Amino acid sequence: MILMIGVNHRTARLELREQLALEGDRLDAVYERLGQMFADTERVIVHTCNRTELYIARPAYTPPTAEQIIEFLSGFCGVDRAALQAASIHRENEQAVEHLFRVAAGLDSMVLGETQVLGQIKRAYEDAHGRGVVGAVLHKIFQTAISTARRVRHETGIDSGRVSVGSVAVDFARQIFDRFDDKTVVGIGAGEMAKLTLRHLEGLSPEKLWLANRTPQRAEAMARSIGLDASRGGPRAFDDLGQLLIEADIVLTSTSATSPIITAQRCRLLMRSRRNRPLFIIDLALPRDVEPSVGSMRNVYLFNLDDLQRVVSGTYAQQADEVEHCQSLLNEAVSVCLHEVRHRDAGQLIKQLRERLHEMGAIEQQRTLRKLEVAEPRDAAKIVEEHSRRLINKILHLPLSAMDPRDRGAPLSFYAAALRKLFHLDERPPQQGQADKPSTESRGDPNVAAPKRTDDLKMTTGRD
Amino acid sequence: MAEIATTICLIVLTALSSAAGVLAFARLGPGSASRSLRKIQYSLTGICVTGAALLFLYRAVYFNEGWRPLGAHVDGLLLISTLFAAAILFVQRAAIRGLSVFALPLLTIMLAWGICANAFTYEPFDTRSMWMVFHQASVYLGLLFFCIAAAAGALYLFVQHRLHTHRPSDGAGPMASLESVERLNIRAATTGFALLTVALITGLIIQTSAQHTRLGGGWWYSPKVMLAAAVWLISAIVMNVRFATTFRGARAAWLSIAGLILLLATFVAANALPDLPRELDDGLRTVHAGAPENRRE
Repeated sequence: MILMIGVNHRTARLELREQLALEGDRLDAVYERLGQMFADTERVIVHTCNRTELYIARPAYTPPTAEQIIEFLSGFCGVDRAALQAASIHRENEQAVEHLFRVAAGLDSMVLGETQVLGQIKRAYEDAHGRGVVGAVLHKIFQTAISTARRVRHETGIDSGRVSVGSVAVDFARQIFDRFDDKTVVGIGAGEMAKLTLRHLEGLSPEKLWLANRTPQRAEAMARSIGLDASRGGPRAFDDLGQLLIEADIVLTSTSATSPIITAQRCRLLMRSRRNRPLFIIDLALPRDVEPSVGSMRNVYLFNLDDLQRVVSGTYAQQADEVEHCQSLLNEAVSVCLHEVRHRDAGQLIKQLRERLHEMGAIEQQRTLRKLEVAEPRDAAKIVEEHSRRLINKILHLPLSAMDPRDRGAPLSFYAAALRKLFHLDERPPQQGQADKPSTESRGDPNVAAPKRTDDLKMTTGRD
Repeated sequence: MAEIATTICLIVLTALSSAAGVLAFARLGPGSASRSLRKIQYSLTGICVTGAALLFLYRAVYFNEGWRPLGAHVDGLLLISTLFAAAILFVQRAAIRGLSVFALPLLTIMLAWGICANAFTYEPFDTRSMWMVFHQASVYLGLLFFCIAAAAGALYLFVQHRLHTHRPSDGAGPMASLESVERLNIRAATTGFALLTVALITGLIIQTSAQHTRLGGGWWYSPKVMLAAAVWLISAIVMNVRFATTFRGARAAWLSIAGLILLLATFVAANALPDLPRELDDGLRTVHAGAPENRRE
């Protein structure tokens, strides 16, 4: 059975994702603890800035369950269990595999079709492989997910879109400025989207990135969260805003002010002081921080949240066909992968079963041969009959002992159905007087006795 | 025979250039950032560069009887067509990929103009004077840089319009950034300004040394001189746009386009206006008309 438990940018807020970040020593500790608790499992932990996901392959009806993993994670990461339960996603078997394939192909990313996540998945798989916790099942699934993601990118145009507010803002910035190492970015205010957009802008490596906030601590927290190097900028006093706007080439505003902080009149004076240098303003605030008329001024390029969101949705619409194409490729790959995993699983099971039965047969054979050596010829038939009875009892002992009706947790109906299916047993109750007759003939023959019910079978087993 | 061959070659080059222009224009549409189309467009432009260069060399070495690179107007147009097409290819590599959309139509016009100049209005230049050679060379090379500046100006206005209407770049990335286009515009205007200064000075020397056009004859307020002076002034503004900030942005782009239009008007004024003052007409003829022995029989 394949199990996936995790949180991502759609289901959990950044704070929760930060608490669940499994990197470095924490990752080592999680692998170690999971190994101690659930030794008989394969496991891979995928961690990116947008998601933390655990992929586990285990035999059916053995721990861990999704609840146990959530319990473990909430305890390990110090997260409220209910909050984690509400924010987490849980997938099993085909859905879990499909989820991994979607993530690897970038279909589940914040930026549709992004390529970074594939490298992160590959590193997570290699890390787990290095720890010796990847077996045949997860090996096959991750290998196929990685190769399928590459194929999807190669055969479709899914990675050519730009579909997050931050990446759209960067796209527009690139249409205005050629280089950024001589540019100044100013972030005013705070907010989740502003943080993500500033991360994108920070990725352009501007010369300076200043953060202004009425609460200096929030500006400092923002600087830390976007990983801003102190030599390239940092928090500035909100009173310096006038000077900052003169220095800035790119301004990102996201304050909770109820009236605009950049008015047309202010901007007109500002542009004179800036000697008409182009100014790119991204207004992510609601209500808006910048008067709309500022956008019609010369050399000012104003984009508000609606403008950026419209581009994002437009890109999604353009990509809809590509997404559909990707999904069809993924569905096909998931189906093939699962078939191969199950086939491989069944092959190994059959091999193990054969070995186990041959082992039992060999033990009984040795025992019978020893008896025959010292027995009279007239007892030979009796010894052979005993040999057969003992062998059958031995073979049936383990499966039938699992069907103990006193064990309320045992999936009796599942086992019963499996036995009926595997041994072609009739579902009709046995006829009176025929219950003790062995069902050695094929079904449907009116002259053949009905097979024993499972409870009856249980009664026939036992150790010598 | 050679003129017919030149005309045929120019027709072929014009067709190739217009085909490249159509492909470049098709890239403006949404989702039309096909790499194969772009490769075909670059290949066609490359063929134009090679073809125009070979034709120019052939005419300079064989047709004009010795090494005379600017024997006639068509040679000047071939020279700048070659350099302009090469510049388009070069700039494509410098991340101003959208320039070809506006530059290739200009290349097509240049080559088509070459057809007319060769087939219908052929008139060899008088290249006996060194001043005349310098004048012609600086005028044609100046025209080349004004074409580049004008194409950059048009691209600037286009990109700015996309930004003001909040249209994202296509899948293959932005056509160009305003900053890089402005830089190209300033560099082209600066080079054009220098060349135009040489052209004006050499033109002044030619005019003042001509027998019938002494200073004081009123030649300086002729359309040609006034238009050339206006172009010179425009290029001076555009090259200093980072300091003359009133003209920064779209205004500089419009000025570059206006500069090219005025320069073309200067050509028209010099060659097509029939009723110039007598002394001025003589002066202009001295500049642009060839000696009798160079005229085509």
